[in-house]
Amino acid sequence: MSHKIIVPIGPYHPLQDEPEFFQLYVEGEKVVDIDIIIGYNHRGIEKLSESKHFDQVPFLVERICGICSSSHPYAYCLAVENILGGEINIVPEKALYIRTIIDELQRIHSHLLWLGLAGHFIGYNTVWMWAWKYREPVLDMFEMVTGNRNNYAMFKIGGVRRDIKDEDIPLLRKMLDELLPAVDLFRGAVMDDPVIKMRLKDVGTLTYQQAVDWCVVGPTARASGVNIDIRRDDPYGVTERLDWNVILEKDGDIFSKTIVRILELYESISIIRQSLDKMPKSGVIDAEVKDIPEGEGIGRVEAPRGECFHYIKSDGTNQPVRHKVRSPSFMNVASDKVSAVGGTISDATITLAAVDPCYCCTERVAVINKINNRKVMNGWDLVKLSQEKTLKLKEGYHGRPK
Amino acid sequence: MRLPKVRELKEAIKSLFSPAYTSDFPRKPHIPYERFRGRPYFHEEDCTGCTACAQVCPAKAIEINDEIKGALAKRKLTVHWDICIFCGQCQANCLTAKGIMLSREFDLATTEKREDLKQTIEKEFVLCESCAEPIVPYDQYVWVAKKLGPLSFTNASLLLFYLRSIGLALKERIHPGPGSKPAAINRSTRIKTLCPRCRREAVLKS
Ligand code: SF4
Ligand code: SF4
Repeated sequence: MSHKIIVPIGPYHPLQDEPEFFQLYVEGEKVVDIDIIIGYNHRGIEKLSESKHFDQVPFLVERICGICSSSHPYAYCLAVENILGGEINIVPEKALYIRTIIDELQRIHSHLLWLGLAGHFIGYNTVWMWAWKYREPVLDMFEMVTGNRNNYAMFKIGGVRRDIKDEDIPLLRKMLDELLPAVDLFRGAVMDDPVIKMRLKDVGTLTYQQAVDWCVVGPTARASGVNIDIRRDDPYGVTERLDWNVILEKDGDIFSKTIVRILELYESISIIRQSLDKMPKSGVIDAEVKDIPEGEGIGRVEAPRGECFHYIKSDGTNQPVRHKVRSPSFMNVASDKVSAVGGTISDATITLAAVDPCYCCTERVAVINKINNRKVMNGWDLVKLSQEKTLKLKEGYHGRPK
Repeated sequence: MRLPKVRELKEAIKSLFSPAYTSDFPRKPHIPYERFRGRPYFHEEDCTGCTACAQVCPAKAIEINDEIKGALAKRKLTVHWDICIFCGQCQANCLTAKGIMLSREFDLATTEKREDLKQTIEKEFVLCESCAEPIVPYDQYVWVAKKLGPLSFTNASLLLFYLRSIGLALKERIHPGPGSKPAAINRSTRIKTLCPRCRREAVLKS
């Protein structure tokens, strides 16, 4: 093929809401190559951050991602606190607990969001509706404690901006108690359902070696057996003092990625419960940091999608001179190059979605026939195809082919 | 195999016989939580016009315009709700803590242009009695004087202001208006409301 005609869809189509663009090259049913194009949505966050003063930056980085909107400000605050002498030495005790609680609540809502969409992509729309239904109380708790369902405006250098009041604690506990049976339900629905197992096992596999080679992070790496978790490896907040486990799976297929995320829901619930138990009843929540000395600092946070990294350089003024952000999806999305190639197109949607690439990215897909370079389908067709495959498997399983 | 289906069936039946989970929004008004961060409003009686809120606003949603027309100088404070990100920093850093407050209004829909999504308040300036430069908004003066109490007697401008407010000094003089030649600075100028520059000159020269 000397001359290629590529028919792209997106990334500015009004229906498509995220700035990534996947181009699949197919031969018949098989995906032979994949092009991942990013950078359509360069917002100049890092540059913008250098024009704001230190206390304003959390509000900016919070808006890098609407879903991990506590990970980015947290990592930023850790980076600045690194210059100041470390989170643990500055931030008051109660604020550490509040930080951990907010961070873990965010993980719960993000994993539930992923679960719902994964369900949708493989044609289990009931899972989608239920997962999002049980995600709703988590968002309500955010609204109650922080004042908004997203963009919590909680993190500040040296502490947090809003307190978790005594009267909030029983409500938080109640929400967690009610969430637990729902998580049980999802675990059951995924682990025991033979059709889901058939659909997701050995699909979009990322082996241990590939995971290491492509430097994937977070649940994507843990599903392939790579034992990394920033909460344990470089502890922040109070996670060090609490009793919880890093969830590991070996297979690296989408089934493992789903299991990792579902089991992490239990760990997050347990972390929040323990934090609520141990959190001091009263106390200051803000160290009132005034000046940021000259220096460089890094902050790492385990966002729901993996390691979120912030670097800050300060020259002693009230603005950062350099701010560098590396978000986890940037590492994970590239691994689709190995996990999606070789599979069938009906598996492509869920494979691309399995790294949780800040979601609707997968809707922006064009499938291109390698023989004549024509575009053959778009994102919605792919979702449909994926759903049809599940249906076929289901019918095959129940012995009622139509 | 049978068991999981029963479990899911239970959930399905539960969902079937419970009312829709989503809220009935347009028909029933939605009431956000108490701490919800919604549209910020200036409260004219509590705002002093100090502009601290504009300084801290990360989105630059608060615009300050100082208008000087003849002997009348005004500060216009505008909060643009189309730019605002509802972070609550303005309220948290407000001088009086009540000058700008976030409400629980979440619905910003309008049939007007987005530029019209704003609220403007005006604050009158105190002018320098020597050169007619605007110094601070009148209300900020009052607030500082009240806050300092008797300590404000150390500052001639504030002392004068205080004496006037209790009727012990003559009311304001007619301002010459900006652009006019500054009044000559002499010893008596020191007991006048002055801008920092004139105050310095008055102290040094008289
Ligand atoms: S809420 Fe935040 S963005 Fe809105 S006006 Fe206040 S400081 Fe600015
Ligand atoms: S008093 Fe409050 S609302 Fe008024 S200008 Fe100052 S900070 Fe803003």
